[in-house]
Amino acid sequence: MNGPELSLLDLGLAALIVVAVAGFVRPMSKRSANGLLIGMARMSLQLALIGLILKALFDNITVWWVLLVAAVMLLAAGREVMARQHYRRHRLGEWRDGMFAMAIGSFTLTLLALLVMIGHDPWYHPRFAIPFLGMMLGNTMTAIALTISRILEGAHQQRTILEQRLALGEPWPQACQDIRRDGIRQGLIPVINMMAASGIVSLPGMMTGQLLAGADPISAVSYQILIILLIAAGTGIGILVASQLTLRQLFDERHRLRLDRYVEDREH
Amino acid sequence: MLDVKSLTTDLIRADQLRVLAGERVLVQGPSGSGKTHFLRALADLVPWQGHLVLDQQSSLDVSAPQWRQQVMLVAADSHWWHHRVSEHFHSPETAPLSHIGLSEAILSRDPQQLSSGEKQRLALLRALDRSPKVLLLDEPCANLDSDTTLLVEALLTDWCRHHQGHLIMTSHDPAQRERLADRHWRILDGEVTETGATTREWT
Repeated sequence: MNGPELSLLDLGLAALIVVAVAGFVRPMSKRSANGLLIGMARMSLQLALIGLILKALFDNITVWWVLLVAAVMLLAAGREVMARQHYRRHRLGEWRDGMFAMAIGSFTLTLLALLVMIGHDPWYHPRFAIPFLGMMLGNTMTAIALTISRILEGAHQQRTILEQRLALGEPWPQACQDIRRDGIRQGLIPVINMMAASGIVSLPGMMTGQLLAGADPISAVSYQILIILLIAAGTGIGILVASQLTLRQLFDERHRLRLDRYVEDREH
Repeated sequence: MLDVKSLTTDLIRADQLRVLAGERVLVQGPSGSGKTHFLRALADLVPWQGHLVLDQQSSLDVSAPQWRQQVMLVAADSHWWHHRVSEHFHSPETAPLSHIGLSEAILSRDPQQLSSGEKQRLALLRALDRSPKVLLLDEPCANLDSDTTLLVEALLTDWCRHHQGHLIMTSHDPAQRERLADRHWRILDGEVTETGATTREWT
């Protein structure tokens, strides 16, 4: 069932092409060329590392190692969500909120998939648990980062409208309903686009990998559908939780808009 | 009756102030003295310490939205979020548009297309539509011509009389303060005090 093995030479050839492309890009944008090269190095290193970790995990399968890897992945995703924000509070609370939303969105559905749909014994086998969690975390992370940044930007851009509505006696959840709607919409766009385009415009990454590794197309497709459905549900749940927690942070207990607590990070 | 006791924010202080039902208070002070901030504190829109009591009820005994429904701020610039003016009103049909020189047709307009003077008057009606007990107005006539200003003043006086309303408003116009004020408050060096004298002293 395995496809032909790739040699280091094959990978090196592909890398060489990227280096050549970076060479062409360099005169036009030095920064992008460097970004390509650094990104290539980071990606290769990170994937090589996870390959080694997965191999080690496969060799001695315990639930604790799987949980440890899952926790590290969650922390990395939480850092990534916050690093992408333009408006920050620089408090532990914003980390906790982003991570909580991601954990709810991705861990619950990964567990559901492992226990109910895959039903492998043991359920925490890293061959299933880690790829599933990675897919879920990667997608919920992007969606949650988009939702949070849209909400924080919206609140800053529309602060006068928000304050007007508060002044008219609206409770904060009502005053910010337009901002919440925009944030949720923004977060759901990628997954909606992915569902619309998959199979026609693009073959999803996981399915491509499976096909290349020699899997039966029907089985690859059914796994892919399962993954996409779980991603859609997981990002939806994560976004709802993240939007609620983010909006709550904008107001104090007397329903006052407290943008004074935020600082603007000009690098993002 | 609205009582302000030992009100302190990071910008202003007010030791003891009182407005009776039906009274109109005019607030004056140099530009940048914190008049807008003071009104926002009374509406509980900025953090403050002290006591605000309306008809024996402390602001802390009610939720912030309930307080603001009774003590309602109309900011100097009005903002609108629906596509039609009427959507911002609970009962648009009862708004006294004609009293202040507006026509019924304006209710179906898009607020973005209105002049600042029209929006300012509509913002006042939007607040009255929610039946507050205290109106906090920040320069409510800044964009209006003198005839329309008199119409708005008449509406406000009428509201105070017939609804036992409390009016607290800022104004840069000494003549307007003279015409309307039952009481004068002044903000100087962050201190809000009642001045028994007429506005003449400050012009």
